Amino acid sequence: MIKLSGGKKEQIVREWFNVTHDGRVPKGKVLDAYTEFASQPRTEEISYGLFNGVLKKVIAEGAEVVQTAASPEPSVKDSVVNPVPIKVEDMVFPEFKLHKTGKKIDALFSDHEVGGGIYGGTVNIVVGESGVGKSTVLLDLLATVQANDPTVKILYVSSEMTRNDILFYYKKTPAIGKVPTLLLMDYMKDSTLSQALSAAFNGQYDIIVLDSYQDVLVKLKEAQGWRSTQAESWLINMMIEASENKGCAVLAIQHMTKGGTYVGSTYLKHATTAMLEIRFDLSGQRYLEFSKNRRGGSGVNKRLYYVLDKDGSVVYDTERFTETEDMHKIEGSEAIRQHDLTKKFEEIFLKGKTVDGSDSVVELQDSLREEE
Amino acid sequence: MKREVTEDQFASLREQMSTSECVVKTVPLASIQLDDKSIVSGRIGIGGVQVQVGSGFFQKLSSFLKVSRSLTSEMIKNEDGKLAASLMNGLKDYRQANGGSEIMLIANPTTREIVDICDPKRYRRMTNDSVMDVTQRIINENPGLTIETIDFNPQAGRSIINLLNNNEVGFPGAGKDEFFKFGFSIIQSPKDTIVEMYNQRLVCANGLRISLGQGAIGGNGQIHFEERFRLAGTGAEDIKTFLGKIEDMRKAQFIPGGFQQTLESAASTKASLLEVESAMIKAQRMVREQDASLKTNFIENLSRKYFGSYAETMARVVRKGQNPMSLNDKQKSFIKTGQSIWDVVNSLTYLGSNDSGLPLEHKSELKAEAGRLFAKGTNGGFDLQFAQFAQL
Repeated sequence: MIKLSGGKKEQIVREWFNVTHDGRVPKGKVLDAYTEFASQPRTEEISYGLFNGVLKKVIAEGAEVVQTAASPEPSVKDSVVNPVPIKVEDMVFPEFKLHKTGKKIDALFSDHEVGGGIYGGTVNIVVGESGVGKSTVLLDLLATVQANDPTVKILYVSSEMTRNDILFYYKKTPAIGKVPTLLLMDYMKDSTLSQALSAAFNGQYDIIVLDSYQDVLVKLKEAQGWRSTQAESWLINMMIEASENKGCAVLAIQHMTKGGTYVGSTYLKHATTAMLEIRFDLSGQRYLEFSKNRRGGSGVNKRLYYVLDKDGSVVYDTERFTETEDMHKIEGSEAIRQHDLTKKFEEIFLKGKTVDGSDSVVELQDSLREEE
Repeated sequence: MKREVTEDQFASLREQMSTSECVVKTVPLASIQLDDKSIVSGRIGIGGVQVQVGSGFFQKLSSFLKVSRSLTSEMIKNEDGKLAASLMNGLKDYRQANGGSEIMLIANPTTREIVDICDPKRYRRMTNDSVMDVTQRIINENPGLTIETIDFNPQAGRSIINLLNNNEVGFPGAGKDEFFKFGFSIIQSPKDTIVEMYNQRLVCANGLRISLGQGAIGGNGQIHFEERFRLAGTGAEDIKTFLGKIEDMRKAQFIPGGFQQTLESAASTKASLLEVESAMIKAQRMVREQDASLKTNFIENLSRKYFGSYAETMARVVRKGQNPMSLNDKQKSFIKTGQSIWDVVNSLTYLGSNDSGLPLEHKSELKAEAGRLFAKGTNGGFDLQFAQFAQL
């Protein structure tokens, strides 16, 4: 076993090797070991640098370095993948609740049931330029879901706002007064940010809005001393874990570049259920539009315009949305009809030879005329 | 007389229009082949397959390729095989000049002939089925609108759906007992879907299609719209814009800007000999009768009853020592007749809309002719609209 020496934090690291790895050091990358170490909640915040220093120290002291299940040595044998297909009906899933706001936005979030709604077990990225109203739309969503069904447990996680900020926000948008809010700024001083987040995403909430993803990453790096990839991997895994295994609906706000493009890793983009974009159109009107949605494909690329009411609540322009939807229906059926006209042209004029074996379509035309 | 398309008639017409819809296909320019026999046989090759073309196809192809129209007519008349070579060269030049490698062929499925050709980008037409869907939608959303008539010409691939607002509007220039209903026509040409203003006089229930250009509507300068507009494409946004323009018209109760002023002008301006003659010839050409003497009787009857001022004016010209047969159009446009423009418009719309007892083919086209004559009032003026200034 490794001797528990050094300062308080060093002792925590040494103890972790004893408890988790029977006093041995797992073989492999230090970052992997640290990720495993950091994923466990503890009161003291220990940086990657300190962890790395202690690890080297204990190896120098003679601790055994061993292959573990968590850090397998790549080998020819191990690299042979043996995929195991699973039937969907044999899989085990958490309960996927469907939360409704009672507003038109429900129809965009999902189309599996009439009226739609926000499904549990999803990770949704919400992108939009600054000032377009991302936080307002999502706070309104939380408030209206809860007003619709008070048993739904909601949480707004703000990494950017202080208590004073939230007060002014509340004055402008009274509806958020009843939305439970976790202010991450409170957890920056004593470096307990990752623990606070882990606790929030442990399954006790049905819907969590994370405002914002990018800022949480920055704060994780700052508070935990993590590198970017480490912080991002940790955060994404936590969101996916909350949705996949605990049935939580996660809505993470993500910023956009000045050019209007998405900021963030491709991994996040692909790992998410849906991507909701909130934008200004050329005339300055606000709208939201899903660019991807695995629960509501029929609502993708359809603009839902909205305005902010005097009380700060979000009012969706349902009439305009319905009209646009109707136009898309006409467009769709028109495309099919145009295609039919082309098909008919080919049948009449170009496929004659294959019908009766004659050399000329004109002969076919003539024979058809005679038949008529 | 109530003229309204019932739901059953609408369904039946929809079926007919759908069945006779022109079929289209975009093909590579290189796939079109013409040879010495093409003109004589009335056939072209498409990717090696010989297909029949309509009678006016080669003229349209020439026009499309900007080959001289008169030269084409001459060569078609003489069955000159050189035309094919000329058109083939035209196709090559077109491809080089436009960079486009494709053209759209439009065919009549009933006659099984290629009838037209166009640049695929210029084909901005909804299918008849979609137009009927849109019409149904407009009617559902505007209970005050009625489908007055649907004119359908399967041979030409054209259809006109006339919709009327039930509100009656009076104008001082039209007389105290005259009221109008305003609406619009959705016109399906072989390549375009177009909307034009349409109105109906209540006195004799005539229909008149007009195109007055652009202007303020119903005296409200804040509301502007184009009184004739085309569908720009078949995408959702294009259709939305198209319907949005109809909505703008609805806000103005479908009353075109400048209508009243034009009406007053038409009622107070005498039609020129040229204007009466043009309208009369247009109507005379629509008389269809096998028996030559009977046909002559119909034409004389039509001329006397509806364009009576023509014969009177010609007699006056003779009395004044002029030979009416030697007058050119310019000279005719200076000669006053006894009918006002409004009278001539009424004659055309009556013949185009009612059963006059005369055998007229495609008579609804006379309504368009009436519209063209009426619209002259806003496009440069009637021939004698400013004749009084000659006295100054």
